[in-house]
Amino acid sequence: MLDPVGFPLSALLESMVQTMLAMDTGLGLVIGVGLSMSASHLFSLLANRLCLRQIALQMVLDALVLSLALSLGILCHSLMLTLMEHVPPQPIMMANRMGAALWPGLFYVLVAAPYISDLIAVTLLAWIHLNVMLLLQVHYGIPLQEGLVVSLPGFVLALVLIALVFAQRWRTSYNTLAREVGR
Amino acid sequence: MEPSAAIQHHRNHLRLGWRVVVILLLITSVLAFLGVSAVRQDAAILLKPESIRELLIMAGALVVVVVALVGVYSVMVDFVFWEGWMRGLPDPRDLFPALDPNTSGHRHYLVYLDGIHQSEEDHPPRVSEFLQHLEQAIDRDSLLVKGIEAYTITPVGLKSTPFAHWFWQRLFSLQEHHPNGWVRFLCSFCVQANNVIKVGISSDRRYGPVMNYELALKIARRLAAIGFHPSRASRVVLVGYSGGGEMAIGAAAMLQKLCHVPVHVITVCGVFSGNGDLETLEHVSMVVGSKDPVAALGRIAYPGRLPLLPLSNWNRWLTYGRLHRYEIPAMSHNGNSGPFSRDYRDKVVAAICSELALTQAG
Repeated sequence: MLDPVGFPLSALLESMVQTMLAMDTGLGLVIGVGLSMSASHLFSLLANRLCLRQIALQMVLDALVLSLALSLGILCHSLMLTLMEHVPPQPIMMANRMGAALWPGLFYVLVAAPYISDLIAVTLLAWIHLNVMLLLQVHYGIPLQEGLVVSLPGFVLALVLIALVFAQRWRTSYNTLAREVGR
Repeated sequence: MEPSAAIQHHRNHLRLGWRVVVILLLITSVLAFLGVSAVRQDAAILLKPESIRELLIMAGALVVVVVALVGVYSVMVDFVFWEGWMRGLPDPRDLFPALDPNTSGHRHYLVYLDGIHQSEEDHPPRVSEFLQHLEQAIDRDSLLVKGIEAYTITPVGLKSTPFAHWFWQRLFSLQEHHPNGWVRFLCSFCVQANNVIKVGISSDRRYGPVMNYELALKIARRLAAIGFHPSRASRVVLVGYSGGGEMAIGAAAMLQKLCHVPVHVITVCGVFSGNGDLETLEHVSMVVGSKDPVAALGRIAYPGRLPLLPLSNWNRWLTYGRLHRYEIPAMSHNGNSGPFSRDYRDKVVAAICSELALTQAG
């Protein structure tokens, strides 16, 4: 199914593909990943000095916004496929096929950890991107190099949206802190 | 009880202990023998390279998850304090209420923040001796403030930390009194790991501001308790050794806002990120040893201080701030060639005093 890149690497990629195909999960995973991402910046909500009810509400809202960002990323993949590979646009089917690629994002909550957060975040995001490329190869027969180009705009779009949500939350918390010190 | 009877009792106690250990070892050996015979095939599979690789991957993943969870727990404590759920977070407006005529006449306050080895308010003997020397060397107008636990945010030390005091008390007891050197080492390692995590939180762009604010509040409260008042004092100098350097740089800007006086930072063999809010600081100085591997490693571990990232807080501050560097030849990070050793402490004290004189004039 995959081009032999060298035995250990191709075996590893093959096992990653089999894992995703065996998952039998679709777009529903996006909500789980959104919740995990939202939970990773729980402390920014605590820094805002919100009450527990407000924190829960904000977390659910953020989870939905982050899920939307990821879904938009997948929609972008679909558009790129149409433009570059002339695959008819089928966003729902594509989302169901690509949803499994997001499973490492379920561990995104670990990004809440200080000092190793950047390492975890970069690893998980790179892993998701690799998964998308592998699934594009399996479902649409697109080689990995071309898959990289097809999936890059959607990936960047999703990353920018996620970064905006996170930055906005942390900025609010710094404002709270500045008010506390400045009063 | 007679002394000989006490010794006899202790000897009997030890003998009993040894017998129990020997019996337990025998039982374990028999069980292991039977167990290995029963699962020989499974054990053979376990020794295959694929199994070992899988085991190593699992162990690596487990380490990442555990380290992440410990970090999250540590951050949680800071934020719980910040939320006021632990009580004890003071209102900054009430820090220096009114000028008491009996307040201290000192104008310069030197606050010492110890390295990651610190577990209690008292410093180790070698550090205490160094601080005595420093106290004698600074002028009469200056006051040295010692015994601040830089790695706890509440006014109390780790021993009295809410929710976890029982754990720390047990750990310190084992660290000091356990007869086995490995156990003492492990306990000491745990204390230092906790402090390293705090250094990591302080340098984290997301969590650092809240934690540094809490530490600045702690220092300000201590200063207020010993008679500091913004209308009389002219500056506060934070002297941070090793990881204390990061805590000093992290808390300096906040402390400046809380105390309404300029805050200067002197790091001694400092390991710091350069992520701290340095914009409002006028003076930062570094006392470094030419043979200090830890400080050199810190510079690599924290890329914000490398010239590769010109927009980092540290590199931006360097373009307009005044960094004074005092290099002491052949000085290492700790031990017999460290800054607290007899060979180097006078040189370090002299460097600190030079910096105090220089920045006082400036």
